[in-house]
Amino acid sequence: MELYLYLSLLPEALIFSQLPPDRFGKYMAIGDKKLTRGSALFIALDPNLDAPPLRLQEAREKCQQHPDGSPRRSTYVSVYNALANLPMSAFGNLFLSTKDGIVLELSQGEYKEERKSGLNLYQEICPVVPKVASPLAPKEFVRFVTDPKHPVFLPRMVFCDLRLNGLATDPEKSSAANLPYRDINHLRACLTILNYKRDKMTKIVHRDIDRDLLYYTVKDGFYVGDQESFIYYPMPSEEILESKYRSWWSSASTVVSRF
Amino acid sequence: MQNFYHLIPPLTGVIGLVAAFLIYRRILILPAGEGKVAAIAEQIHAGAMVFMRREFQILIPFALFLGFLLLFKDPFESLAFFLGAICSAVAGYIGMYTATKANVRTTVAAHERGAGPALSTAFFGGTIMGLTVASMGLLGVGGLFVFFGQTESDIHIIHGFAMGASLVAIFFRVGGGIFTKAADVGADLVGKLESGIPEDDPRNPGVIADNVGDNVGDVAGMGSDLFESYCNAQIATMAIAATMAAGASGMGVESIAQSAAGLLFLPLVLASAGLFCSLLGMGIVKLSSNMEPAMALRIGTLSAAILFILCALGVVTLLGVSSNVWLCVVAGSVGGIVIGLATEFYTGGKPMRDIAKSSQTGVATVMISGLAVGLQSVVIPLLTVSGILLVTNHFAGLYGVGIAAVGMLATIGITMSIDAYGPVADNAGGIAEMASLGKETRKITDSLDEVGNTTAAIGKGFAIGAASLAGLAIIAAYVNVIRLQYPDFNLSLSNASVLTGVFIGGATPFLVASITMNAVGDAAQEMIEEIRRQFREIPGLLDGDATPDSERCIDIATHAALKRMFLPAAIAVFTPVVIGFGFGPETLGGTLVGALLGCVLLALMMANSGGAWDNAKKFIEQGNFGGKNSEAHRACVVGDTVGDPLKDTSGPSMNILINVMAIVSLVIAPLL
Repeated sequence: MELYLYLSLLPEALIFSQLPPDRFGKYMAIGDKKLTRGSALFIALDPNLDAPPLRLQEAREKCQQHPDGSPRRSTYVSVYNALANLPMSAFGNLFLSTKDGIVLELSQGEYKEERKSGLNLYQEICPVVPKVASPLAPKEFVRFVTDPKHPVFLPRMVFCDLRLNGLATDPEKSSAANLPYRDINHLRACLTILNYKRDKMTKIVHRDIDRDLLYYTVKDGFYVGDQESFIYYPMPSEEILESKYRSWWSSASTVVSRF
Repeated sequence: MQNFYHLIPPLTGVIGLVAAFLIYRRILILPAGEGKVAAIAEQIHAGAMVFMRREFQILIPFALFLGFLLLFKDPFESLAFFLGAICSAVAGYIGMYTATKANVRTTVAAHERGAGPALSTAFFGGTIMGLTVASMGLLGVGGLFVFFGQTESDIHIIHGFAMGASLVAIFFRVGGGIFTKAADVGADLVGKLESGIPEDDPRNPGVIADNVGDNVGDVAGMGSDLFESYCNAQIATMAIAATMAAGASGMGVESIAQSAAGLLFLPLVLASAGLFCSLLGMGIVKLSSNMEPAMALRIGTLSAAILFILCALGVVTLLGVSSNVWLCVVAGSVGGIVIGLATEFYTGGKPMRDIAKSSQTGVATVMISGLAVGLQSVVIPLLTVSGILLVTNHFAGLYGVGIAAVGMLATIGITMSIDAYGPVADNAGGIAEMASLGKETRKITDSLDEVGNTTAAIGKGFAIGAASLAGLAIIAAYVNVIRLQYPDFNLSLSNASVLTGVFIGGATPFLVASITMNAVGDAAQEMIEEIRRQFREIPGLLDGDATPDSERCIDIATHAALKRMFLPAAIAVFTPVVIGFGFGPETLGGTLVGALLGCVLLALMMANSGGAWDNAKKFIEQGNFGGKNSEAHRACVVGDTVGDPLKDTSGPSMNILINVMAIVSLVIAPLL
């Protein structure tokens, strides 16, 4: 039976599994008996990878099918500090599983370094989860956050950018239409501070993540980076999601249920 | 010669049916799509027809039983009863049959030819229902008038027609209302209970039933509702005219007409004129189909109403009836427009936006503001009805009240068309969604649906206003019929029997509303169990490799709805019988007054609260207050969910409840 290695990003964990990505995503989101529900993000890695100090070989040997012939769903290698200890060259595609367990696969894409005017809103996903406003573009942002010269820094980070529409350029007066974030006035205040304090590069907007709302609000895509490497997973446009990945988009964009 | 004139209403009915048939043929030649689109449409059509057939299986024995009882009173009245039931059922059947053919053609028109042709297809799909309702009414009531309208003593036979129409209406309206919400709630809950299935997913076996529900509730249900109001208004007015001629009314015939015959015939001629004006209005909508959908529909409706008012003046003069009666027609028509506009204001204007605004502070404030809007929304319609009552009574006594109801409903051909347009457009969007026809198509069907929601809300307000006036006219006729036996009969508030009746009558709509609301929950539960069973037992269904058994879900929803509609129908039919024979005509008169007020208040409040909550949610989905998936949206979704059974099940049942109670009372009045 084929073996897969996944880096789960929410929550951070390194997992061997005999389930292919679509089934693993469903398993992570809704469990075996459909008694749980919650979106999951994970990156596929080379299953033959060796990355000390993670005890990959030990877990690889343990990940065997069950006596009844069914595949082993998960064998955990680590439940923290996995992202920083893996070589980014081993990172494959990113998989986004909705709360209903429907999975979308994102391939790595070319990141075009273009300077856009206006502010950005980032959702950090791994290893920490604050929502942060910043004037920096994604690559600059990850370099800034992972810069060891700062008193507080992360070794590596996975994050995505979120839609701001007109607030990106005019946080005080622009309409907040179609921005479903909680405490929109607080968001405006945070962005306004960045607009006035030009030397301030980050401002925490919220300390947590709204997992259900995440996919619906992603702007350009997901990013993984540190001081040396940078990977970009472009998010398909809404039109493409609607036409090509309809069931995924339907599930991802129906956050509010009637019941 | 006079007898020839009496043929005008049934002949107009035949002309209307021919027009409906020609429109149907034009719709049928439009492309109906292929593959998935055609398959989904066929499932919806077949499901709707299954519901109809099953409904008839329950309705027919009940109708036979009541018809048998009526046989002892008057065999011809019993015959008229069956004719009324058949006409109402045929109108509902044809309307729903064609609506389920027009929906897919609207989808295809939107996909292949754009917004204008799609509007045209959806509207003309609805016109068949509008024309059929008006034509069957004229054919039935007009036909009976030819045979039994010559003498005042025979006019009671036509009351049987009204009772038959009302009986079918309560079954269609309550049954359809329970079905549509049970299917809707059941299908939506699956998304919550069965992980891996988002709402409205084609794998969900309840999704087709949900679309079927739009037709059985909003097309057949609304059609039969308006059909019975339309016929009851004419029949009650004739009854009042007959009792005036017999001297039971305080006002003599000569004060408003040259002869009683003119007064008896006037409602039918007005209704005939209304049908011709509706046809002209439909032509105007067709000519305006390149405009904004809302504007085209509005121009058509208003044109028909203005033309009708002008025609009515000619009709009144021709029949030798006082121009005061024409003023009553004007009062009814204008009153209908005022009630419609008030409904539009409360469900789509500032009060609706205030509910959306209140959603920023959570669910509780949405519920409070929505209830407040519903409560306030009854004021203008009730004042309008009061105004109509005062004005018409001043000009033409109780006959004026009846003729105002006839005036309000005369252009039912076009108002009903616009009502039926809503579910056709809604279904078209559902088919486009399920068949993945793309964002552009969906955008067109959404814009049609948006207009459809507003027209549906206005239609509900109009239906309530019409039902209240028709109910009022029937109660007035009831009082006059009782007076033929007991000349001193009076519904005095100082009479304990009358007051007792008022309280009993006031409680009845609350009981029926409660039963119908609980029925939705119970029926939805049965749907959910079936859907979960299918996911458990049909291999590959969750993975999309197998086809869901949608027919079984439709069957379950049908069975559940029909089982639960029997009690409300029985309460409506037997309450007047028990009160009338048990406590006497005074208590029954009081019961009708209490029920009328209770029904109108509850119907308006429920329809407008529900409509306002629904539109507030849509207003937020347009991007306001954070747009879709925001906290505000979450709060409004709760409001919409609570409002759903209010506006689509319990609220609409109230219209029929009062009319059924009133018409049964009128039929049994001579026996009390």
